[in-house]
Amino acid sequence: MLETILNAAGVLLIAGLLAAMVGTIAYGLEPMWRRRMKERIGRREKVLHTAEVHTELIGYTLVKNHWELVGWGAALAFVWWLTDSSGTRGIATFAYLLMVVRHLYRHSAFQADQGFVITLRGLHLFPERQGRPIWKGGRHQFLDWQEIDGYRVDGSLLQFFRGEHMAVQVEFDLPDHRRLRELLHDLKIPRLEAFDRVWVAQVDEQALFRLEDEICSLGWELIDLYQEEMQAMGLRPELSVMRNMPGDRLLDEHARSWLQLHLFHAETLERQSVGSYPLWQSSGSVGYLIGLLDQELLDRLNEWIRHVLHDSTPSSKGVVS
Amino acid sequence: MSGAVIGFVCATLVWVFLYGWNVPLRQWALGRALERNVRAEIAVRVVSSPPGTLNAIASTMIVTFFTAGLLRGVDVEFAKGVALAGVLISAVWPFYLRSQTRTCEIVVFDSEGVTILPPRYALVGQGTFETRIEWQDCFGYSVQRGTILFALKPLGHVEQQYGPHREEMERVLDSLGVRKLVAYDALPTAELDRASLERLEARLIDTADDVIAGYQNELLGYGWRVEPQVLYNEEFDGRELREAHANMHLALWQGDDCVLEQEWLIWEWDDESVEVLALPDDRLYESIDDRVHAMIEQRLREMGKEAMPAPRMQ
Repeated sequence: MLETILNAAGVLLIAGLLAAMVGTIAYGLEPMWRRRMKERIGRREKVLHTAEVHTELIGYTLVKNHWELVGWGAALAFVWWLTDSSGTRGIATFAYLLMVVRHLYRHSAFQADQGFVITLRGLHLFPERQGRPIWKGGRHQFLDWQEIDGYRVDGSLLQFFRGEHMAVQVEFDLPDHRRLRELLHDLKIPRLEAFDRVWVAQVDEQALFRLEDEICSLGWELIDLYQEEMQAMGLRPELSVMRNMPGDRLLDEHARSWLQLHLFHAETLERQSVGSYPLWQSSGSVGYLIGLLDQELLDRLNEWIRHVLHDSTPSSKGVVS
Repeated sequence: MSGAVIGFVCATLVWVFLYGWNVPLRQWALGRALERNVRAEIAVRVVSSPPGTLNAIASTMIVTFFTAGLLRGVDVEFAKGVALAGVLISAVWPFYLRSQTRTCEIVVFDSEGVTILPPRYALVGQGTFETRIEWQDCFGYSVQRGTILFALKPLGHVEQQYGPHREEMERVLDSLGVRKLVAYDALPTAELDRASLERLEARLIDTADDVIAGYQNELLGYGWRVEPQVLYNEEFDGRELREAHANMHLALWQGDDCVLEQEWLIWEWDDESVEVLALPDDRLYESIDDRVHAMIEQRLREMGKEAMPAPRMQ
């Protein structure tokens, strides 16, 4: 009796150890490998940003399904009942435990983690594994900045384009949004669009109001540069943030906000010219938020103000000789 | 126990484990979902025609008879049992493949969230059998081409097919207070007929009449009246109707002069899709109220008067 029990325990132990080893090699080495890759990249290149992003949707619960293990467990019990040969039992137990280990790894959180490293030379992407074993490739992608024509922001994705085609897209954590834009700006990677396409729910109203104010005061500073010119033309500027929604419901469908520049005649108070510069637009579920920063924003605003100003001078429509 | 019985039971159990067990499990999962504070349970038929019954029967026959042939050398009785099980399983397949478990997605709305039970194809090898969205994580919903899109906070959305149950689902979602993010539903043309569009137009006019009745005193005081009307616009390509849309037209009359007018798109139809205004009653009222109010204000401004607080009687 004791011999039978010891025998069974031995089979279980050996099968268990083997299964844990094989399963870990096939499914579980990703976090360690990724860490080491990042270290190696850090030694070779100048790292500007590194992130590990959990890509599962927040608020969408997938109830885990463990029936596979239960069912195959019953099959294993049947094999043990059927045969006395410790070889057959061992192989069956190994197969079952391997499946258990695989199941555990495939349902662990790191399978949905996506990592990326931004360096001076390019972008290193570690796509999420989604339960694929080690021999299914695509673990590391490298994108040289030289090959990239520009990027745009779509929700929580940075999409890098080569010509018309998207070369790679990377998911980032929302709090990093601004920092990443600044980083890419510093790296001189052009924005393909002035606006970021975002989910309306990810927009913080307070932050949006702050941004509007920020851009508006930036606009006033730029107008100061044209002070003399405007005085010479007898114009008085008025710049303000406009919204089309009562109650500042900026997240609602069709909500928009924009900068509006009025130029009045200083004495008669007659309106000479008006121009608007869009900042935000919502379609209910998706919104378009101005994504320009720093110098780029200044350039565009400057161009706009000049345009509005020169639109108001009748003499500007001269004849080209 | 004779070998034949054992063989029969074993082979049947294998099938039950792979497929048949899904039926009671689905019932159990549904029962658990129904224990919550349920508002509606809607079964959406995802698989319209039962998938290859003959195929399933043929594969079952081949597998069981082949296994039986192999086992005949070991134990004739056992092999007989396996073959018999093959016949039984073949007889059960049509029922299983046509069952709700295999063909329908069940959506259970309750006061906390929505539980979705996808159809079960097989017990082993299919990912998840149950997903859930809590309303507190849900930003709102919109309707597009056969699916309801649940927008999540802070980002992303989940698609849910609605089959023929669009109106029912929208009604439930509205009653649960889930916000509708996009006022217009984009639907395949086949989903709406002329009659339902007419019902919608009538509903809009009724609501507009209600709204205007609320401003009646104020309007009478100024000698104005507001009239709602549905205007159609159809574009033909030769003799084929290519595009059509209907607007709600609100006009502010002063005596015999129409001094202000405003249009609001109700629906827009072309060959492929129809966009249709679909708001719950309270928001429809609110939207029309905003418009009428804005017209009165504008007219008052134009007349150089300050808008007085509306003398509204309820």
